[in-house]
Amino acid sequence: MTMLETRSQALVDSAGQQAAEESQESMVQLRSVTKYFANVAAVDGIDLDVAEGEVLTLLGPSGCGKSTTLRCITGSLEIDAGTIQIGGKDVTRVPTHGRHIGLVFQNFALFPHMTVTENVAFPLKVRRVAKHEIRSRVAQALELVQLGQLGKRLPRELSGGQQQRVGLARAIVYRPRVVLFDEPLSNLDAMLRREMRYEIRRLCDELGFTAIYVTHDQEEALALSDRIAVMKDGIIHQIGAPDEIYASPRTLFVAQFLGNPNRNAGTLTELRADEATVRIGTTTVETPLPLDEIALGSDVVLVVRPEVVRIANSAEQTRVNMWEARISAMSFLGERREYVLTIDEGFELRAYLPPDVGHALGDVVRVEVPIAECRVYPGASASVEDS
Amino acid sequence: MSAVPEAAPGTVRARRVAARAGRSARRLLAYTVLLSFSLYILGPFAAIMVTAVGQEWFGGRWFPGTWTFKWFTFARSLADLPALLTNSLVIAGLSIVISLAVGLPTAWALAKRQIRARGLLIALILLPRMVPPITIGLGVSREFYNFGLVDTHIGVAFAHSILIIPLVVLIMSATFEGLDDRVLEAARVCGANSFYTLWNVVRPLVMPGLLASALFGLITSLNEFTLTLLTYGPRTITLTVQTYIAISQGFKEVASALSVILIIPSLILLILIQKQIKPENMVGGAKGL
Repeated sequence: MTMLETRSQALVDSAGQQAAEESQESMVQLRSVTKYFANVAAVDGIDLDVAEGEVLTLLGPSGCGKSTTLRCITGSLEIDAGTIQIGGKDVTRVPTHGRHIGLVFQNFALFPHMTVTENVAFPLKVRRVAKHEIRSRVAQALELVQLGQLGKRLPRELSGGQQQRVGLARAIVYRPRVVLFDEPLSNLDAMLRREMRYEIRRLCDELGFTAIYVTHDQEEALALSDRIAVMKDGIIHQIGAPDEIYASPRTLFVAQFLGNPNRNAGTLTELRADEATVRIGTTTVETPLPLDEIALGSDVVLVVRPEVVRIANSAEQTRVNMWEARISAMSFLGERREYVLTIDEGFELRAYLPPDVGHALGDVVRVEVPIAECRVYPGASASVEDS
Repeated sequence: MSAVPEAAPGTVRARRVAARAGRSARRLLAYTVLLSFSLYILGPFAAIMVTAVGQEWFGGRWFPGTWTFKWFTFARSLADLPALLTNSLVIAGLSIVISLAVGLPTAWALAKRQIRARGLLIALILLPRMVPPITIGLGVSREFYNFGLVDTHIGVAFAHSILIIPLVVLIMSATFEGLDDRVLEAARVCGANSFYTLWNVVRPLVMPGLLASALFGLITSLNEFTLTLLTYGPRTITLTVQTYIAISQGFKEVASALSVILIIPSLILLILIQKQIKPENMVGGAKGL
């Protein structure tokens, strides 16, 4: 372990030196980057700044343009408009092999005819690094991904998880300042995914490279990112720290893509200085002011996360946003119980409660949602289903 | 099963015995089939070999009475054998080069690019193999006379390429399709330019396909009679053509001797290729990673 630490320390030092040479400028900078596929903008004028050493995740459903954005950064796709800078240099017209970045692929994309060692040595051989240095750096990289013993194997003799470790080693072995990850864990099973997620984050921290990570898995994004950019239809809907995005989604899309919140269609009936009122059926809900300007009387969607819904005990006085509800469905999920609470015609809330809460199906309880936890977005009921 | 009590059916022992009997029966069947098949394939070769070295051979006997190499000597006197062999090999070599030069880019385009009317294009490429060679040959020889290509090695090679290119395109487009684009992209991202990627990643991965194309090209060219007949001349006569001429003149034994010589280059290449095609070089085997 100590040997491993000193080795990784050596890599950290070299990355640190490079960091010192760099000014405060962002490491990767995209300015109105646009990419068309047959008249459809897969990436639609994206601006993005990734700081030195930061782990930024592009999160979105399939077809949102996140992988396309990544391929524009690697240069595999030529962009139709905009500029890309890496390390302060404009690389918009630089071919892929001149951009000096690491890339980890979803399907691993190892060279099938080369051994693990040859795969990892490839980027160094291309760069004409001296033989003895190649040997030590490959060994070092394989140690870092805990594959020290498997150097002589061919990729097909390895498990999926091991292959992806080889992919990781190949991407970091030439100490690129930027490493890109294109859904690197999607081809692995759930257990391994969780393990590798921590390992990737550990590598980012130890080696200090700047990482851009593409995934459609919100849990992965929340767990390993410094910042998340949520994408849809080729544009970035919101960018920010994981907790910030989770707590205050900028748009309905972001709200429903992160977590699995309650969505209820209603009408905006009142706007005051710092609060608003939404009517759902005959029930009124007090909410903070919507982020967008919404005209009175228009359709809105009320978003409430299940974990903020609480059931009041009988001694409590009735307050604002406390309603009577019938428990219409219930399921036991081990660490919690999930209730479906019907408050009104067309107004249902799912709630996560501790497993020892003893309510029965059909019971009538009082439900409270704190005003500050409500979110209101423009949109008709139809768009509620569209996620 | 002497002293041991008769194994009751269903006991472990009985089942083991039955399984062993079944295995040997299957093995016997497999060897019989394999042997028959080998004889079926090798029989004609044996007949030619024997004819080529038989002194006189009156019907009904399996082997000729006296052995001789005089037919080879006689063949030598009929034609300049080294020159014939050289012609055959030079033409075959040129045909392979031409066919790869035309076929590789075509195969790459078919495998890696979005092409409209792809089916029609493949049908067109295969057309030369679908029509009788004489149909192509007549047209080709007419054009070749106009361009002065008749009785030149390159001319005959061009004619042969018409038949080899479809093979190259078929084999290589399948090979290229097996190449994972992401692997090529990985090479680029790792810093390799197009040439480095081509040489160090693409070439080793498609080598089995290339060798198969070369082998089929060689065989096609060496064996081609019709197209050679319509484009050859005194300077470019090949072993195959000479063999046919020998038959038409009634020298069956000479024809056999020539055929034996004709086998040699293909055999050598086949053995070389056998050593080259290792399982780890097969693109197909590495695909489903």
